[in-house]
Amino acid sequence: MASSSSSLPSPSSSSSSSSSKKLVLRSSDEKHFEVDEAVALQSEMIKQMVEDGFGGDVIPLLNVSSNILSKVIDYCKKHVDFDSKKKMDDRRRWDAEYIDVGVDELYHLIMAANYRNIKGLLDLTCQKVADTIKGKKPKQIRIIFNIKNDVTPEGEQKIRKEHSWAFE
Amino acid sequence: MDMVKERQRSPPKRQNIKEKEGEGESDACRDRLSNLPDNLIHHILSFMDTIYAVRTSVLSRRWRHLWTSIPCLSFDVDIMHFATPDEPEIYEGEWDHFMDLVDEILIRRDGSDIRKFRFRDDDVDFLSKVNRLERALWYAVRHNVQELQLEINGDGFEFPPCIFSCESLRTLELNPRLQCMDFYNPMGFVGLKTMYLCCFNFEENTSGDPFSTCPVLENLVLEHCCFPPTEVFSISALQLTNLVILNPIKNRTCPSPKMMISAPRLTSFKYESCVTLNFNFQNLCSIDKVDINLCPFERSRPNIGEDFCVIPQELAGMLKGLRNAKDVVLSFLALQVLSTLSGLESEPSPFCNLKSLRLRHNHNDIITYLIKDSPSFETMVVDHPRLKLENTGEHGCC
Repeated sequence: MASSSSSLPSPSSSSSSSSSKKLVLRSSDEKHFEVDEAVALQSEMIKQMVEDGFGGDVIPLLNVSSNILSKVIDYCKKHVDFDSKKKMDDRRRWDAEYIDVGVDELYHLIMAANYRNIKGLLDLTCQKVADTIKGKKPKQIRIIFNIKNDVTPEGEQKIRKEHSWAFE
Repeated sequence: MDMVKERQRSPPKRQNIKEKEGEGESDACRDRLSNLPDNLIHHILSFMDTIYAVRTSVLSRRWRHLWTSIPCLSFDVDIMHFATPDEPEIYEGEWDHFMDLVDEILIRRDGSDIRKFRFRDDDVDFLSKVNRLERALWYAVRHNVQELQLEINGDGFEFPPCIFSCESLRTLELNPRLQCMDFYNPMGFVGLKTMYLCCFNFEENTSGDPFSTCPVLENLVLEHCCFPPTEVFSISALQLTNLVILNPIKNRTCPSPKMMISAPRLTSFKYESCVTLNFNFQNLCSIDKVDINLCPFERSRPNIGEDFCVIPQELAGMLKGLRNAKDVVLSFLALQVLSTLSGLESEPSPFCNLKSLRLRHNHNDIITYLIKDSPSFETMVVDHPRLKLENTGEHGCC
């Protein structure tokens, strides 16, 4: 098992010592990451690329920066591991710690999970946002997510009136 | 190769856009959430009760109508915070408010198809409530609901027939909770892949093979279900790959229900209960993973001995039917029960193709019995005491 998020400046010189097949991913800021194929294939998008015969090249991930990519790789590595061990409790605990990040990082993780099509990570990140929104007052939600309120107080009053059944 | 090159060429553009976006604004105070595409916001709103999604409509203009097109709807009576069921007037009034809420949401949404519809309520026994709930379910069926999750408890309430003829369904979870509900013969589950049924009574089922009308059913979970003790109950499903039977309800005065399972594509079978059923497996040529969790009787159950006497034979019979399994998990009690059978050393092993065995207890005689006919056996894990042996030539005598 490879160590966590290895960042290799020069992928071409990297020779894989381990028996498992490796893929090289490149972040938007040109950093290279060598990962086990099983880890990379957690991403449906990469799976598709490998099936289409692009697995031998460096796989460019245009919208994902190196710090987000390393975090995404952490997730995929851990979940390949969990899948083989089938320990649901450990998985939940690890997920909860993993997703305890700021709003900005959460956004980038959602975008990366969506772009790379990693369902588990997309659900985990979206669930986190949903849990944050749930049961909070609009004012609190706006502060947490920096949502600019472009509705006039009268307009907001009108919406609340229309949806009075939903606002108790 | 062209595709990769093209992908390589385009990043600078994207980065420029990103930089522009962020001009004059630090990362920390950007409105990230509102900038997500609609489908991702819908995905986020799908993880909460729909009422909370409606309440996001006041956040900003961007959010005003977003909730009206979410494809996943969830209604849970818990959000109403009932005062107390001992005050029926308040209770009924609150319930009406809950159904008002469901109605308002269904009327005001944009009419797009529903991917998932979840409804949970504890007390649906007034006719007016039943009618309103049926109307909501009709709405879901008419909007081609793909995943239906209903947890409904109420005296005399029955799931409406429209559910059982819904062709768009891919996943169905029905749980009438405390009561045991008679099962209808499903009629139109042409696309159903996953079915979870809890607290159903199959005794009144006339055909005895209720899943034969689900031609593409892949996953079936039956929990707290009651099967006919006298006739044969069949589960024959050509595409079934996962079957889970949890805590079947068994009448102690009757013999074990006879369960005929015919599933040529079944790869995984899980059974969890303190009693056994009389299984008869047929065509299980693809079986790979088997998990038998025989668990201790609840303390409250009397006459343990009476039930117990059939368990060893039924368990041995069950394992024999799962002969081709490669990856087997057995609970502590399952091993204990097997050890009560006499003459195991001379019996052939129930398995012929085992690769891995996971046990909750280390019991040498039984281990030898289980793996002796499997030439390609590889791994054994004993959870307690923790122990892992690779390529156990000595069959794990440790």
